[in-house]
Amino acid sequence: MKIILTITLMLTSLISFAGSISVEDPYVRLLPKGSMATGAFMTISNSSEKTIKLLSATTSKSKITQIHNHIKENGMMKMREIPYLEIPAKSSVKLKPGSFHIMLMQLRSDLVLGEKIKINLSFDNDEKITIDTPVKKINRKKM
Amino acid sequence: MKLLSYLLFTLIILASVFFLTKEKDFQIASTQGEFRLSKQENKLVVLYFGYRFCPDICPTTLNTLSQVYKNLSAEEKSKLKVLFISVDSKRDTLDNLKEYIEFFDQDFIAATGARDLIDSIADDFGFKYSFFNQNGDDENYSVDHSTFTLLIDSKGRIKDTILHEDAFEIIKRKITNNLKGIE
Repeated sequence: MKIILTITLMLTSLISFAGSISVEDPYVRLLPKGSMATGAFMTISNSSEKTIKLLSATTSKSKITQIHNHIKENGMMKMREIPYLEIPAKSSVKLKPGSFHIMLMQLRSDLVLGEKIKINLSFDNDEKITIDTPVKKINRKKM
Repeated sequence: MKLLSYLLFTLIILASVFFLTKEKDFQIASTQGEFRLSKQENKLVVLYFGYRFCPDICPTTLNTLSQVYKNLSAEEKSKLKVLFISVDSKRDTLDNLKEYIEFFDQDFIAATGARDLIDSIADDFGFKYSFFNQNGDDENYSVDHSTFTLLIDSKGRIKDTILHEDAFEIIKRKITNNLKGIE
């Protein structure tokens, strides 16, 4: 019984399931002490037959949490909030450095390596998911 | 007419050669004292502009540079200077930049200064930036900025450009190849 429980816990920490939406490989970028903002990255999959929108993300780690994208324009990289992120039917969207990300702004405390940050995601099909997002040091080789 | 276009073409080529090989110098207060480019003789300077609160692009670049740097030999390291210039002197000071840059590598240097100085250096190296304030409050703004990293010599001549989208192996090669040219 204990083993089953352990395995279940291990699995749920790796993948979060809730209906049509699943989230894999979530992480928050470790940044130096005193940083005001950081990004959360993950792969969001939609197993349903229709497009689902990620409407919002919240966490107690930061005062402001937004869904962002990077746009390259006039030779500059511009980071902008987007109203929602569409996850097309039967596919997935990867939130990754230099692209879509969940932006944690005005952090309430410094980031600690290995710390798990709870991020709540709300979708337009009324699904809500809470992910335990570990703080990781990002190595480009693995990107 | 043919001669004219030929002349014009030559002029453009000469102008670009002049621009690319034009000697440039600057001096800026850094986390390791005054940094003067012309004093970096026999060094390859890795020049990158950004800001401390940059949550994604800057740390990705600095992380990559630190990974490349860690794998260099002691001799190669002695010929390389990584300089991060913060364009956000309103929020970034040499004190908080020191903690920031040393998170990536103890040897890396961060610098910042008055807006005029930063603008003149940025202009010289074709770097663009612009403040973006979504909510209109004074403290929470982001900075739109160019994402390339320049490899320059002590005369400010551009030896190579690292693009943000370059793969790790390409970045590593650009740095190590250019280090070979440094006596």
